[in-house]
Amino acid sequence: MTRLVAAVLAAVVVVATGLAVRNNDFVLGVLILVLVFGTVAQSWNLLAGYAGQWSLAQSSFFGIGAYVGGIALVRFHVPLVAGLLVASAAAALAGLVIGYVTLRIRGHYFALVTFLLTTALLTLVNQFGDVTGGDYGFSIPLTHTTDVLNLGFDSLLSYYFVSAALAAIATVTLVVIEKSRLGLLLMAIRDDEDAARMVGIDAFRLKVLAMVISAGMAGLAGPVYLAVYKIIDPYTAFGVSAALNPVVAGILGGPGSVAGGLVGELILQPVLAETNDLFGSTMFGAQQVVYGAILMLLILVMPKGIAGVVAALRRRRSV
Amino acid sequence: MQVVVSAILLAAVYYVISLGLSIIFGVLDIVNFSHGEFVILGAYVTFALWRLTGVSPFVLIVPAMLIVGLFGGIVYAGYLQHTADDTLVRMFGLVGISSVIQSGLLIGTGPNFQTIESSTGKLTILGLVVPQSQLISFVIAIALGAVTLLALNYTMMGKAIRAIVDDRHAVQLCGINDRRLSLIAFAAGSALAGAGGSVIATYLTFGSSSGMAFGIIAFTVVILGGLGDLASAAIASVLVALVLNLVSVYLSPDLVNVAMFGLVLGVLLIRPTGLLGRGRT
Repeated sequence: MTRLVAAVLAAVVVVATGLAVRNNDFVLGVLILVLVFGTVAQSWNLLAGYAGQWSLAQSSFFGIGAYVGGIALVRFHVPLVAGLLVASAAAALAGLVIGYVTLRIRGHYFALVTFLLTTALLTLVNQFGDVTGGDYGFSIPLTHTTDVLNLGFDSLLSYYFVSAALAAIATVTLVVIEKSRLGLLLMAIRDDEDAARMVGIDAFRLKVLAMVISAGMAGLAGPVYLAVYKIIDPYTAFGVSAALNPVVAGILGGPGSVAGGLVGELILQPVLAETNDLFGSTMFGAQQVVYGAILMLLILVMPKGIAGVVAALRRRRSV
Repeated sequence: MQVVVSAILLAAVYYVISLGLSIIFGVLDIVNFSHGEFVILGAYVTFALWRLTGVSPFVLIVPAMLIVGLFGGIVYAGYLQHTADDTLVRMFGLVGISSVIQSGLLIGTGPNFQTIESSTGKLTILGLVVPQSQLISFVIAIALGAVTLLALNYTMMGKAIRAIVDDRHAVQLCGINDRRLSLIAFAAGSALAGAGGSVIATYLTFGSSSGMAFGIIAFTVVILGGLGDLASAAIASVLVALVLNLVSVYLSPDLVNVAMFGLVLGVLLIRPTGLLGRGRT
C-alpha cells in the first residue's frame, strides 16, 4: 500500500467518521481531543521516537501556543487564524531556547530536566496571573456567529474538521521527515549518539532543530484547542497529567512510527473519557491512576508500543 | 537569621530523603521519579498509625519506615525488576508508579491536607522561634543519617552496596548476589524516604500531591551533591534548603520550582559531577 493510497484512505475514513457521528456531541468531542492532543503526541513522537530525546515538556509547548494565541486575540486583536502562526512561532522560539539550554544533557537527565521545566512553567504562569489569568485560566470570547477568521463555528463538526487538518499537518510532517535526510540523521542520533558524533554528525544542532520543529507543531495545536474550548488553564497545559499525556500516548502508539501519537491518543482519550464518566465526580484522581497504570503496563509489556508489536509480528511472519 | 536556622533544620530531613535517593541512583542507575511519593507515603502511614494508636509520632517513625521500605521492596521485586534494563524505559515506569501512588492516595484519602497535631510547643532559643517538633525531627534525621552512613561504611552489606555503586561487575565477580542487593538497596532507599516523610508529618501539612515537591527537592540535592557521593549530599542539602527558604520568603513560594529547575540545570550543564566534583555523571 503506497503512502498516497494510505493517505487518501485515511482522509476518507476521517471525513466519513465525522459525518457519521455529526450529531453525537460526546463522540465528536472525544474525537476532537484525540486529534488535537494527538498532534501534541505526534510532536513528542518526533522528538522522542525519531530523535531519541524523551521529553516531558511537549505539553508546555502546547500551552505556550495556546496562551500566546489567546493573548494575541484578546489583547492585540489578532484573529485566531493568524494567531495560529504566531503561536506556532512563539512555541518554536521557546523550543529553540529550551533546546539550546537543555539538549546538552543526555538520556534520563534530559527527561528529568524537562519535567522540572514544566513544573517551573506551571508556577510561572500562576505567578504572572494578571497576564495569563492565573489559576482561573485564560478564556477567549464565545462566538455566536460563524467567524472563520477566529475559528468560530457553531457546529462541533466544523471544529472536528479543523482538528483533523491539524493532525494531518502533523502526520505529514512526520512522514516527510522520516523519509528525508534529516530523519536519517535524527534516527542515527537516536540509535547511538556517540557513534553519530564520531561520524561527524552535529548531534546538538540537529537535536535542537528537532525540538524546534516539534515545539512548533505542539504550539500549533494550542490555539485550535482554545478555539474549541474557549479556555485554557495552567494545569491543562503545564500540569503533570498534561505532561504525561503525549508521552503515554506516544509510547502506546509506538515511538518512531508515523502515526504513533494519533494511535495512542485514539486509545487513550476514550479510556480517559470513560473513566471520567464512571468515576469523575466521585473519585478525584481517577484519571491520573489510569495514566499511571497504563504507563506502568506499557513499560513492562510493550515499551515499543503498538507499532513495535506490529513490527515484531511482521518480523516473525517473514522468518 | 530565622530563615537560615529553619533551613538548617529542614536540611537534615532533606538529607535523609536524598540519601535514600542517592543509594537508589547509585545502585540501580535509575532516576527514581517516585521517590517523592514514598516520602508522602511515609507521612500518610505515620498519620494513619498515629490515628489508630495514639502513640507519639516520633516513635512511629520506625514502623512507618519499615512499612514503606517493604512497599518499596515489593515495587522493585514485583515490577521494576521485570522491566527492560534500559534506564530511560525504567524511569518512565517509575513515572507511572509515581502517578499511581499519588492518585491512589488522592482516591483513598481525599483531597484534604493533613497534619499530625503534636502537643509539643515552640521553644525560643537565642531569640529565634523554633517549633519543638521541628527540632526533634532535626535530631532524629541526623541520627538516621548517621546510622545509615555507619551501616554503609562498616557493615558487610553496606560495603557491598557501596561497591555496587562503584562497579557492579566487580561485585558480581566477587560472588556477591548483586540482584538481591539491588532489591535491598531500593527497599532501603524507600525506607529512608518514608522516614523523611514520617518526620515531616509532625510539623507540616501535607496532601496527596505534596510528594512531587519532595521528589524535586531530592533530585536537586542528589544532582547538586554529585551522584554516588553520599557525603557531599549533606552540603547540598543545606544549600538547597537555604535556597528554598530564601526564595520562598523573599521572593514567592511559587518560584521555588523555578529555583530548583535553575539549580539542576546549572549543575548539569556546568559541573555535572556535582559541586565537589566527586560524583559520577
